[in-house]
Amino acid sequence: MTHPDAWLFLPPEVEALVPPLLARLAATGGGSPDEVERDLRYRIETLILEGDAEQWRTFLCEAAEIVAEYAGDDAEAQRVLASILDDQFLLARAVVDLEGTDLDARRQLARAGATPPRGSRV
Amino acid sequence: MDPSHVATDIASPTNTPESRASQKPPEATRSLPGIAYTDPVLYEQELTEVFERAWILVGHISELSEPGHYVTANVGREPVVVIRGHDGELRAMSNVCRHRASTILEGTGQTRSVMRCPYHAWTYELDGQLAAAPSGQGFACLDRDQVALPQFRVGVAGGLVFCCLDSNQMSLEDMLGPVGPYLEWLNIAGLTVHRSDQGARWTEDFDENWKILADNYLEDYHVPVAHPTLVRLVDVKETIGDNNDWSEWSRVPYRTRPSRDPREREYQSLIRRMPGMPEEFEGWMGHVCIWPATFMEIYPHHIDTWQLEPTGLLTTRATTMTMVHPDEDDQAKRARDLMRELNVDIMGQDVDITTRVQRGVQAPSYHSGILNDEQEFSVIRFQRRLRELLPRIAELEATATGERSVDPS
Repeated sequence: MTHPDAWLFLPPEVEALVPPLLARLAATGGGSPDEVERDLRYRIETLILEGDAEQWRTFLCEAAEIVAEYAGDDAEAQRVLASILDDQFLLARAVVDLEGTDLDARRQLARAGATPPRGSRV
Repeated sequence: MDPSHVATDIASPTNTPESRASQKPPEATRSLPGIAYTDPVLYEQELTEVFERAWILVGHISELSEPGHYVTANVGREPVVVIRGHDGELRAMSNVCRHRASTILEGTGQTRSVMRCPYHAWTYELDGQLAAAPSGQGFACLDRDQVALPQFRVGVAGGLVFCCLDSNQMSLEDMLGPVGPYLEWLNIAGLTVHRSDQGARWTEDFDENWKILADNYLEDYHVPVAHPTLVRLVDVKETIGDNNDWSEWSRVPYRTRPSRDPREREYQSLIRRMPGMPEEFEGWMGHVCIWPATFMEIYPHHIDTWQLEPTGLLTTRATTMTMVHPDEDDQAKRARDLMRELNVDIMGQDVDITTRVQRGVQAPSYHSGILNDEQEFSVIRFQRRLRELLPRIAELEATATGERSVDPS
């Protein structure tokens, strides 16, 4: 039986890396980077404080969709984000079973350029 | 450990998958070989070349305010006593009677005007000179003027008292580097040592080599995996800090939004810095690591030191000293008690991990692992110092891999 808190190993990397990168996507996509980053930080922290593994999985799917649908110029940020999120799905298997929507999300991330990490600096 | 490095690196447009793929893979930074945690020859070298040469924390200055006040500790294999003399001087000396080697004082406290060995009552002045021995006429040759407890170096930094057996070791100030001013800034000298039912120190024994416990304390890579409470309580990505080759400090902000866990939520509601602590520390939790095995947890409401002492190849004693404000109020006390409860869980999680590691490093299939250059940076630095000081490690690495290991620098 997995401890209900076991999924909490997942968010810290996302909390540290994803908001500024998604803000970069917003910057080249015409959105407001500051708003994107602030809202995302708030949402991730809310999940850390009040959420669970299922809610985290939902969040990952939504983030994957945003990354996959991005059509701006910052392909580098898109690829790095796709890699981070794809790693999240791979790691999440320790605490939840992936479902069809997760596999769809992974396919989207692969198309967005997700690659396995090659070194210590992803 | 500064997670902001992660954010900087990942956001850097020069650090792309393509550029990485086109580069020669960097040399991996490897951990110590597994056998380094079970080798008796290396263990002996660690005692003589690490613990008996380093500055080791022994107490807090508030414990040594008057003549006769003393603290005791083990520095490597040497029992030491640090005591305030009648002349006001602080002295560190061997706590071993020159007669039949009993330790003279135990724990902390205040002796009378002399120190008396409990075995045969050899009696020493507070400066370590032998004053008298019972039945002195029975010794064929005893020149008491020639008998004294060997003296060692004593140093005080930010209210913490350290002892060093090695007269050639660098100064305490140099070893602490940026940690010295940090301790001063926190006004630790203005605190007092909390005495619980067990006394002024709380010890715990572990069935692991001391380096496994030190490695674990030095990195926060495992924190989100092992310690969900800390994920909810602090925002690790905002960690800041500074270090030299031997010591480091860091601090991390508490999250301001409430945890869903009732005990954590109550703790959050009680966090308030002690009087005398700088305003800039409001809302932060701090850590200090001092070579080789002194660690500090700095909360706004109290401070714990955690001193590791190897007691055998596969056994380690951890001694905790808790410092509180002299006028600690009920709120601070409740915060301290709650953090102690949370730390019991956290320590249990760490014991579970380190017990597994102790088993794992003995596996014939395991040689060494790749370390994360960012989140295990302090482990890398710690193990680099060990490699520099202990030639036995290179021999073990050569044995483990069949060749000389890579240059750890």
